[in-house]
Amino acid sequence: MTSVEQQRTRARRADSLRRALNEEAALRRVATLIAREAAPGAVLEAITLEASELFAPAAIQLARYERDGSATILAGSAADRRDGASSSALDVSRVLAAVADSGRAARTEEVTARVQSTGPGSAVGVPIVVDRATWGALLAVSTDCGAPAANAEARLVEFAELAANAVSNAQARNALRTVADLQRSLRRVATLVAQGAEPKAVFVAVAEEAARVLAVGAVSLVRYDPHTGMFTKIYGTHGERASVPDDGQWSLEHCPEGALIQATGLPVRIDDWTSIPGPVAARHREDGFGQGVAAPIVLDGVIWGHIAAFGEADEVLTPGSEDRLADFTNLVATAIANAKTRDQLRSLAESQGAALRRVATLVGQQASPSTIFNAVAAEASRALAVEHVNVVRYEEDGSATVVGATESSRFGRAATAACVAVVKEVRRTGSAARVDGSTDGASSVAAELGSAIAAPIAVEGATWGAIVVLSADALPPGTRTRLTDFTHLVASSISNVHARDKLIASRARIVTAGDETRRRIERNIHDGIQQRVVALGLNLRALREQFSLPDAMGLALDDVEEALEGLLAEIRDFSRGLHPTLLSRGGLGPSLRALARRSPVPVTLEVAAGMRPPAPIEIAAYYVVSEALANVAKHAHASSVTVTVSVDTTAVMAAVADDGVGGAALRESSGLIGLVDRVEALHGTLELASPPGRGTTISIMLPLEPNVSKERVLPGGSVTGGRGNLEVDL
Amino acid sequence: MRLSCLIVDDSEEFRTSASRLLSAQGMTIAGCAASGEEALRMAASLRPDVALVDVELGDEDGIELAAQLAESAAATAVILISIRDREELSELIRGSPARGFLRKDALDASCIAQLLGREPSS
Repeated sequence: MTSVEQQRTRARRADSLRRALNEEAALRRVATLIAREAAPGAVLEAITLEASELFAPAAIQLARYERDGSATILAGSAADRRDGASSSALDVSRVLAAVADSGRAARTEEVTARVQSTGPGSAVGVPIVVDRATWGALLAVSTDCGAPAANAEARLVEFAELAANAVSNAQARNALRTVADLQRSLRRVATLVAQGAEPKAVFVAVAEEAARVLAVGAVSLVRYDPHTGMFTKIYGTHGERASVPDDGQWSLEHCPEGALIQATGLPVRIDDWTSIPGPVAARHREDGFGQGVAAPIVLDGVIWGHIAAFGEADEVLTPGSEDRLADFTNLVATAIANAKTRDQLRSLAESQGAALRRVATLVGQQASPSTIFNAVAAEASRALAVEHVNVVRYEEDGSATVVGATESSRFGRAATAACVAVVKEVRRTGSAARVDGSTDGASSVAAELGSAIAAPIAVEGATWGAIVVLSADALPPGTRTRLTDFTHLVASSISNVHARDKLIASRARIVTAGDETRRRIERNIHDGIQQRVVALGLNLRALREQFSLPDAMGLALDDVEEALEGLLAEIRDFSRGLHPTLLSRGGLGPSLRALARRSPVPVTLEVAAGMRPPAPIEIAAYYVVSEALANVAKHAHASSVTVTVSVDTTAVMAAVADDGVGGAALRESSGLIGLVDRVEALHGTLELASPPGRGTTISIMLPLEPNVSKERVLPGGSVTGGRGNLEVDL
Repeated sequence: MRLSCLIVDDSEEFRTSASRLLSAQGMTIAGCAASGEEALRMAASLRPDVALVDVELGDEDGIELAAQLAESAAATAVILISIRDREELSELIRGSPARGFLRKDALDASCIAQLLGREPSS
């Protein structure tokens, strides 16, 4: 080898080495850019620039293949801008097509050999392969004569790989960002849902977020009514451009994505609207919309509606857009379900609140238990939208008493069977129970008021009773839960009634026990001491008859007899104050007439007592008149007093009115206050009217126990009658 | 002729002392009964001139018994007796076919005769 050749060889080697070093440096620079997550555009630009310097004078171009098979030059100088390169564009497109077709490197020579074309330029292209698909191509285009270096492809491939790397990195980042975006959006909506936002607010948020995530302008939230077959637009993000305004309606056949969803129940995608008939699709096209995706909103297993997103006419919605949309629909469904539950709860709470206030008012007004329990039944009927409601109390003997009922409740045999069964079950388990006529086996039960649901009323930790809902038809689902809720709330009122009843009952017991003690003492005195003193007197007189005694002794015994008489009189007075014996033997009429006769102030007595009330009530009435007459005698300075007493099936009324000085009051010290206790213990009322100078009137009302007219269910027998107490043998 | 009487009272102590006094005062004690049933039976068989009937005959109603005795075949004359005042019982006694009322401690043969419209026997 000559020194010149050697020099040339050295120079070539040096060139080649330099080029290789330059190339390596260029690739390293690009790789650094990619590693720094530079924007893909910048990376591709850098690749083109670096390659241009290394391949100069050839021009480098980077192209991306589009869906329609065309290619877009993303970076690099367009070859046709260079002088004398008029044909290079043709070369470039031929090479691009060849690369796209084969997925391998291509150069002009090969291409032009088949396509009759010659030109001064030439081009070499290598594919940029991303995810095993030919994403684009990197080209070296020569504007002057001469083919590119033989190893041009191999060198370009390195840059193409870097480009592919950059693109695929960017795509991965994009995908990641999309997922993160979606999660953020979903979280925003989920927060709204969790905060209990109104469904409309959630709908709007969902539409806006979905539009953002899918990067489309048009997202619609649509409700479907299966009964009418109509869709209703709830909200759309695209305002004026929407083919249907908010709240607007259109039919199934005019909503292709809705029809598809109704048919499949799955997310759907419509890429081509050109052949879809109907005015909505026509508007869609006219308004410049393109591809659409939609996903169903499923509520309680039923398609409630859907969300649809539409791209612009020239936009491609990324694959999986419909699935991302579906992620939102779950949130929408949750929001709607929550709102429904909340609305139900609110309306239940509101109606129950009002119901409770009304019941509590009755309790506060000291209404009779039957009034309160009938009201509870009526309120339960209203709150639960059921017609027949019974309020049942469990008795200690194992039976149950219907203490309240709705007006419509009729204790027919069938109703009683269902009612008894469910009431039994509640007592056994202490929790809500349901009995359906159909499961009972008795067809008569199913025929009339077949279903019964009952929930326990817990008072002081025990099952006090139950509220029973009866219906001829199956009761709607959720009735049991709502009845349980209602019963919980109303239990406090019933607890109050129960406590008041207990108090009244205990006062009544005290009064009755007192009466009983006095009656017993009176009886003991009558049968014991009194008889013995009488016998003593008779014996003494018998002795005086049998033996003639000295006068002095006779006189002395006269004194003893007199003392005995005095003793007897004292005992009589004492025992008369203890208990009105005549009352228990003769009733109010005779005993009051006896009272009237003993009164120092003349009494006009009017007693209308057809039947004898229960003893405690009779005694109370007697004592009130007795005490009132005593007061008249002591304080009234009256010239006359009128006593009127009437007894009917519902109550005993009594009034004592004098024409005295008035001004009497129910003071602690007065004997009247004890009467108030006695009267109230019997659920009665006592009123005192005593204006100064205009006499005094004391009047009482003592109700006869409502359970006096109790009706009992005979085993296997039917019961007539309505709302009175009813006992059920369990 | 001595008046014969039937004493109807649930208190044995009273029956004993009343018998003693009335017989000491010259009456014949035909018998003593502690219940209404006994009284009706004895009145029918013994035919006393008068039955002294306690208004409160235990749990029985002396006034009711008085009516039964008066309406019985023997048509026994009845005088109601009680430990209580007449005034206290007047509402109950009113309308009774009894010939009269005597407080137990005021029991006296001459009073009985008077109520029956007879002259005292001694």
